[in-house]
Parts: sequence; C-alpha cells; structure tokens
Amino acid sequence: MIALAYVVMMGLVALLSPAIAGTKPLVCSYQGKLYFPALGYFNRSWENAVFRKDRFRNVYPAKLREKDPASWAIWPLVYQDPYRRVRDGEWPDQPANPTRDEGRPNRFNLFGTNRAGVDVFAQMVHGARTALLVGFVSMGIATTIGVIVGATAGFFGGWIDTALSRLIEVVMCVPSLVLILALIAVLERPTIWHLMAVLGVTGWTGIARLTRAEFLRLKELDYVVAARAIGVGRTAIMFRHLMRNAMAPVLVPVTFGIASAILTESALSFLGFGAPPPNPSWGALLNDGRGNQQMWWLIVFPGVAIFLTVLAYNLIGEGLQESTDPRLAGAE
Amino acid sequence: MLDYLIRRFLLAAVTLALITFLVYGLIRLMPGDPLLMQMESMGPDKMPRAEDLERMREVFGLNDPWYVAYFDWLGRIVRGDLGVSLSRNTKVAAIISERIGPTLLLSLSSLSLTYLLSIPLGLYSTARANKPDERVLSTLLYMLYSLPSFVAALLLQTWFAIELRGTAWELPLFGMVSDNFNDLSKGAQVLDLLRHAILPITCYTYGSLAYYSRFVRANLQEVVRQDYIRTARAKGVGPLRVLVRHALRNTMIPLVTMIGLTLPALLSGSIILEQIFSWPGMGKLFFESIRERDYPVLMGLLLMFSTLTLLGQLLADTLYAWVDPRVSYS
Repeated sequence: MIALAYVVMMGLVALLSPAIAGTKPLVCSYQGKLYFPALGYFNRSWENAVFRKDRFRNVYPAKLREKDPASWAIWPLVYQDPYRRVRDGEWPDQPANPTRDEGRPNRFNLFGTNRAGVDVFAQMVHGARTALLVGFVSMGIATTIGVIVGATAGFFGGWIDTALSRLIEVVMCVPSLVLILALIAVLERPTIWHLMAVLGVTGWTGIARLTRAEFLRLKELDYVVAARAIGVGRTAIMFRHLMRNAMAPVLVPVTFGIASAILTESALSFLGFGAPPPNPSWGALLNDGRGNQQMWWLIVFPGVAIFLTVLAYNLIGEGLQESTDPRLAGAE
Repeated sequence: MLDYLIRRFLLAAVTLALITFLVYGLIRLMPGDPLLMQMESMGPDKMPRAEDLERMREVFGLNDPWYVAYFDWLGRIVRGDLGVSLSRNTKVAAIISERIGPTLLLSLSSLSLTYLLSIPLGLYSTARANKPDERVLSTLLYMLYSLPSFVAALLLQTWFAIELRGTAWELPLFGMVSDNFNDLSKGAQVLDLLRHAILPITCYTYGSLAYYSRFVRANLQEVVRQDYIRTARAKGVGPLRVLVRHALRNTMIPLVTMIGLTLPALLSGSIILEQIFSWPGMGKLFFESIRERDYPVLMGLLLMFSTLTLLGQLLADTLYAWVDPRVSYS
C-alpha cells in the first residue's frame, strides 16, 4: 500500500514538476492575455512564442514587471530552475545559487546545488519526469514486442515456435548492459526517446517467455477447443480469448521491468551514455557528484530517490506475483 | 543423455553464430573510426599520413564490408585466434587474460560469501518465521535487494571519504593496489590488495546475498509444507534437525542449479562497479573498448560472455538432472 502511494506520489511530482520547481510562471497575464509559460518544461515549443519575441531570456519576474507593469503571474512553489543557475536579484530576497562545492543544502536550495550552481531539488523534481517516462515508455515497447512474440510462438507452435524461441535466446544471451551500450553507441546523438527505444527492444525477453508459456498452457483448455469448434478464427481466439487470460501473470515482469528500466536509465546517465546533459536525470546528478566526494548531497538525494523508486516497483511486482501465482496461494 | 547433450551443443553453436553475427554488424555500425579515435587522443601532431592510415585499415580489414569482415573473424576464431587489439597493439587473448584475475578475485569471493551466508540466513528466517526478528531481517534483506549496487557503491564511497577519512576504518576508494605496491613486502601486498577489495566485494555481494537468502527462504517454506516434513515432525524429529537434515536437502536442488546460471557473471564482472572503483577487470575493459571502438576486443569479450551464458544454461540443466533423480532427459 505504501509502495502504491509512493508510486502515485511520484507520478504527481512528475506531472506537476513545473508547478513544484521552476522559474517560469504557471499562469501569467501579459499585455492583457493569459499565458502558461511553465508548459515549456514539458516541451520547448509549448512555451508561448511571444516571450521569445520579447526577449524574456527565461528571466520572467523582472521582464514581466519591466515590459508590462499591469501583469500578474502565479509562480511555482520553489523558484529554481533545473537547467540553469538562478542569479542574484532574480527573485526578491533570494541570493544567487552558490557554485562549486559551496552549494550545501540551504533554505533556498533544499537539496543543494551542483558545481555549476544549478539547483539539485529542481533537477530531482524534473528528473522524476524523465525516470517515469523512461520506465513506462520503454516497458510499453517491451511489453508490446514481448507479448506479440510470445503469443505467436506459444499459439502456433511448430517451426514458428522454434524460430522465435531461438530469437529470444539470442537476445537473452547477450548481457543486457552490453547490448544497450552497443546500441546507444550506434546512435550518434542519442536523445531520451532513443534511450527508451533501446531499453524497450532489449527488455522484452522475459515477457515473451512468460507469455509463450501462458499460451502453451491456455490453448489446451476446454474453452479454446469449444471456441474452435464453433468456428472462431485463429486470430480471434488468440487476441480475444487467450490474450485476456494471459495478461494477469504478464503484469508481474512488466512491473519489475519498470523498476529495472528506471535503474538502467540512471546507470546509463551515470556512465555518461544517457540522454545529453540538459535533460535532468537522477543518474546524471550522481555522475556530477562522483568527482567530488565532499559534495555528498549530489549522491545522497538522487541515490535515495532511485532506491525508493526501485523498491516501490519491486514491492508492487511482488504483490502482483503473490496474487497471480497459484503456488503461493494459501501460503502463511 | 548423450543425445540430449549433442543436440544442446549443436543448438548452442547455432545460437552463438547468430549472436556474434548480429553483434558484429552492430559494432561495426557504431560511428567513429577506431584508428582515428586513438590518434586524436594522442594529439594533432601525431596524425598519420593518409596513405599510412589507408594501409592500416587494409591490414585490420576495416575496408571490407562488415559481413565479409565477420567471416574473416569467424575463420580466425575457429583456428583459435582472437585477433589483435586495435588500440593496444596486443593480442586480445593476452589482454583478456590479464583482466580476468581482478574480476575473478571479486566475483569468486563474492560468490563464496553469498553461499556461505545465505543458507544460514534462509534457515534462520524459516525457523523463526513471522517472529519480530525475522520480520526485521526479511525487511532489511528486501531493501538490500532493491538497493541498486552502483548507488550503494557511491554512497559507501561518499561515507568513507567524508566520515571515515583519517580514522582506523579508512579504506582506499579507487583502484586495485596502492601506488607503492611494488615496494611492499609479500604480506603487505596481500593486505593492500584486500583493503582495496573490501568495498567492491561488499557492493558485489549484498545484492546477491539478499536475493539468495530470500530464494532459500521461499524454497524452504514451500518444502516445509510437504507431507514428509510433517511425517518427520510426527516421528518426533527436533525442529532444527527437520530443517537441516530433511528440508534443506530438497532446497539445495534449485540452489545447485543456480551455480550454472552465475557462471557468466563470474567472468563478465560488472561494468558499472568496476568503473566506479577503477577496478582493472573485464567490465572496465569492455567499457574502455566501447569507447575506443576496439572491435576485436569487443568481439572477444562478447564471444566469451555468450559462450559462458550458453554453457551456464547447459550446466544448470545437467546439474538439475544430476542432483534430482526424478529429472531425466533421455
């Protein structure tokens, strides 16, 4: 239950990241119109063009006052940016972010700042978005591939099964980090989307094996024979009748997969193979803190966040496993 | 049994050929020229002339399309030649054998520690199931199991660097030996190596320790519910004896077969942990080779990892038949 609450909270943090920490107003009235510049954190192009035209240069508070004295704005809870250092006088009574190893956690920088003076709390909040996105999108890709491959192999059997099982074995035999690193090295300038695709196309084997086993078991059952006897087509049996029953156990490796995708993303960012620097990522923060052991806040906060997230997804996966595995029913 | 083994070996050979073929293509597709990358790091004045570069590419077979180069490589592999590293100018076999030792030091000590500790831990938590101390232990193990090893490694490094520097507990954070290693006496050398290995071994071990203890416990709990255990209890066998003599034996079956599956991990090391601790092992070698686009070393490592994975699976299945007489493949 706590794990579920944590996951929901993480989702909220990720969704509301621009409202929690940012330097762009959530809502502002500028020259008589309403704008939502904070959406720019989700996608650069969603930030209204009028602000680029008027040379706001991301320093909203001063520019709003200067260009339109009648303007008003609703600001994020914490005035800090995940991409750049907040300077002196940008926000009333808030000093410039300290740089180098002086940025210990303080009143304005809850989790400290990194060497360039970028706030760690803001990076963590926006990094949650990256982590969750990577977890869900890559596992979505992996589940699609895995279910299709596993279902086809299990349902048709024969040489199709042999060929697909060989394929699964081939992908399984290459250590996953090795395969991922090689795939990422092939891309000249990997973005976060490439990373998700790579994690997706390498992470489907477990799901495929389980789906295959489920299909092998289910297709012998009476209701399938009955469906076939009344003339239901093969695709309809596969997708309408079998898929539904096979899905519950498949949720287990998917949940564990989300945990491991989040973990792999931060490991890759840590190794310098992740998404390029401006993307806030927990792993990139760890990489920042690696060179200087005195800056413990760069290790402790993202480390704990990664740990808690992995723990939460593992707990949920475990709970699902207990409720779907008949062998465990009645234990304790 | 023999039939079964032959069939498995043939299948494994096909799988292996497929893996290496695909990965060879993948590796050759990586942007960046291995020769140029190495020269650039040495400085612009060291750049070779264009015709020299061309000759080198010819010698290393870099001008051929990758599928032609793959069969060249395969031909040499069959004759037992792994080739020569592009960036180090040494035989791949020599480089790998130089790096195996450090990795084995970590993985073997970690494996023995894991087996030595996880069985008693598993027994203990079964014996005291649902008592408060067991709850605490299991929660702790679960948390350790979810703690990513590289996060733990970084946290440990930070802790040792800030809190323990200058105390009696101070440990070296990077590398395998101290700078003055060659001046030390034999005994001091061993001690130095051990002190460097403590943190990496800890990070290697705790995760698998937690996993194995939970595994032993889960298996034991399933066995304990069986009829023959109830019979033994009914006969008046003591609780400890029931666990150790009767239940543990059947738990050993999956545990023994797991040895087979750990085989590849024993030699592959951990890319990320070796990177963090600057440990000169196989994982670090792989990482460096990817950076340097050192095709022959990469392929040599990959061949080794995949062969071991396949062998490990075979070993696991064979061991399974060996320890459990109910299983047979003929």
